[in-house]
Amino acid sequence: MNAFQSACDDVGLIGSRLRESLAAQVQAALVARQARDVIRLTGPTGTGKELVATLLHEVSRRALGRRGVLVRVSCSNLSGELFESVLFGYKRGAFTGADTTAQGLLGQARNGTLVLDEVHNLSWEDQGKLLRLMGEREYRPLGSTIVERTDAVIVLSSNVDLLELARQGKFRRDLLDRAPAKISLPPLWQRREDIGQLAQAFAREAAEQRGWTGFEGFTRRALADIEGAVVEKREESVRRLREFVRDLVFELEAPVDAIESAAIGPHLMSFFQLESLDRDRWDREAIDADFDRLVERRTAEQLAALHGVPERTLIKLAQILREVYDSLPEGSNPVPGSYRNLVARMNLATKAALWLMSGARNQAEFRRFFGTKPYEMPPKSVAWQIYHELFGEGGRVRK
Amino acid sequence: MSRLLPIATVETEVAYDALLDSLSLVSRLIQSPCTIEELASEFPDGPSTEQLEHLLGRLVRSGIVRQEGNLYDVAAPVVVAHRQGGQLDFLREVYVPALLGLVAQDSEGMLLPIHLSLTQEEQEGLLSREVLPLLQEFSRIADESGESGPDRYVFVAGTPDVPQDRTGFDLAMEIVRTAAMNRADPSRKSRSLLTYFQTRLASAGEIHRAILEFESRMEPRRARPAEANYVLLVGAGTKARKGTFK
Repeated sequence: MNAFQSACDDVGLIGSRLRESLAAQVQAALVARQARDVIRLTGPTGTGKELVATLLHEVSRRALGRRGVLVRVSCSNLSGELFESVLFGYKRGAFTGADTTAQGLLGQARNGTLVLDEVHNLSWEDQGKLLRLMGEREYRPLGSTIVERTDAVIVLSSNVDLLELARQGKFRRDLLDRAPAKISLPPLWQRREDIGQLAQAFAREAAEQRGWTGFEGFTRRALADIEGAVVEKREESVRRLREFVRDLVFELEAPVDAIESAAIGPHLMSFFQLESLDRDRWDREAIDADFDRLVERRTAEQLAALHGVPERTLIKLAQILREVYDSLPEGSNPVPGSYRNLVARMNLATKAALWLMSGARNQAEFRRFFGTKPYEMPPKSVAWQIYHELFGEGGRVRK
Repeated sequence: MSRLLPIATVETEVAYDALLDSLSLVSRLIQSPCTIEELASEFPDGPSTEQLEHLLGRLVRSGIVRQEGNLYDVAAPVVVAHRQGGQLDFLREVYVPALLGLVAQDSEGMLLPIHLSLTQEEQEGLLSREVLPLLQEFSRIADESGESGPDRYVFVAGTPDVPQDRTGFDLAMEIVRTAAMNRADPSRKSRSLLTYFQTRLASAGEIHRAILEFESRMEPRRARPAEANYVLLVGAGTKARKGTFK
C-alpha cells in the first residue's frame, strides 16, 4: 500500500471516488512540488476539507519525510493585530500585555502544516499581510526586526470559490497568484459511488454506538434509494448525509439485522424534501452516469490481469491514445499542420508509458528503473522533464 | 426425461443481499451439503471461518440455506432471486463482471448475439416461453451431472432497442446497457431481459450444447441486424477458477 492510501486509511477518509480524485490532486499539488507551493483547498461546506487538510499533512509526513505538527486556525475569528500576533508571534513588549516573547502559529508549524480555515473571511488588509509570507515564505513577528522564514506546508481553505471572489474584487488576486497549487473537493452528489459507502459507514458507526451487534447496515435497495435522493436534491454535504443516517438509526426502536428500503422511504422524503421516490428514473440516471466508467474500470482490471500491467497504466495510456486520436485530421480536436505536433504527442505517450510501467514514485526511482550504472540511466534532466510533463501543471496525463 | 426441481424464491431485500454476497457458497451447497470446515478448505483465498459462519448465518436466516447439526444444505436445489437492489448494483457486482470475464476465456466462454424479428406479444413472452425453460435446462444438467466442477454462469440479456453499427464485444456491452436502461423504464420493462444463472459443473460442453439448441429454436425469428426489432445476448463462461470466492 502506498503512502497516500495508508494516509487515507489512517485519517478515515471514506469514498473510493474521492480517494481517486484526491490521489492525482495531492500528487500534483503537494508531492510533485515537494510542498514548496501554497495550496488552495476549496469545496462546498461539509465535503471534508478538514479531513483533507489532515490528509495533506499525513502525506507530507510519509512521502516527503516532514516531521512537524499540523496547526489550524479559523480566519473568521481573527483580524488586525490579533491576526498578526497569532499567526506571526510577537516579541516581549510588542504591544500592551505582551509580557513574554511568543511563537506564532507559523513557528509552531515548522516543518509541518499550517491550515488557514475560512480564508475568505480575512479582511482586505489582513490578506495583504499574507502576501510576503505566501510569496517569499518570510514573515516578521510583531515587534521584531528580524525576518523569519517558514518551511510549513501552507493550506488556504475555503468553501467559497476564491477565484470568483477575486473577480468580484472581494479577495486579493495577487494573494491567489501566490497559491498556485489547487485541490478542489466535489460536492457529495457528484461522487455517486461514495454515497453508499459513506451511508453504510455512518450507519455502522451509529449502530455500534447503540451497542448493536451483527448489524449489516443498509440493504442494496435502501442504499440505491439514498443515492438517488442525494443526487436528485444535489446534496453537497457529507455532514448532512451523516445527520440523515444517524437520525434514522437512533430513531429505530429495536436492533435490526439490516435497514430495508421500506424503513427509510418516509424519512428520505421528509429529510430531502422529495415528493416521491422515483426509483426507475434514479436507476436510469445511475446506469447512464456510471456505465462507461464501470466498463472502463472492469475492462482495465481484466486487461491488466491478462498482461501483467498496472490498471492505472492502462487507463492513462488509453487517455493519451484518445488524445492522440482526437489530434488526427479526422479527430474531434485536430492539430493544424500536424505531423510534427502529433509526433511530439506520441513522444509524450511513449514517455508516459515508460514512466507508468516503471511504477516510479519519483524521478530517482524512474532513473533506477533502467539500471544502476550511469550509462544505463536516463539523464536527470530527462527524468525531470518527463515528470513535469506528466504530473506538472503543463502535463497532459491527468484524469 | 426432465423433472421439475423444487425452487426457493428470494423476494426480500435482506435475502437478496445475502445471496449476492455468497453466490459461490450457494453454488457449492447446491452440489452437496457440507460443514464450515469443508467450505473453508474449498475456498482457501476466501473468507475466514468466522466470516463464513456469518455469511451462512445470513443465508440460514433468509431461508436460502438450512442447518442440520454441523451440516449446511440449500433449502432447494434451485434458487431464484428477483432483483431487490438498485439496477446498478446488479450490473456492477454480477452482470458486468460476468460479461467482462469472457474476455480472458477461450473455449470455456461463449457470447452469442441473436437478432430477431418479434411481435410485441412475443417480446413480452420471451422470458416465460424461451428463456426460463433454457435456465431450467441448465438446472437439470447441473442436477444430473454427478461430477464436481468450477462455478459456471449463463446470462441472457434482451432489448427491443437494437444497437446499430456495433459488433463483437462493443455490441454485447451496449445490449447489456440498453437492457438495463429498459428494465428501469416502465414502458419497456416487460419487453426487456436481464437474467443470470450460476451453477457448478465439470464441463461447459453441455451448457454450450443447450445454448446452440436454443439458438436453433429461435432460427425462424432470426433477422438481419439492420432489420431486427429485438436482440438477445446469450453469454456463458466460467468463474476464474475453482475455489475463487464471490
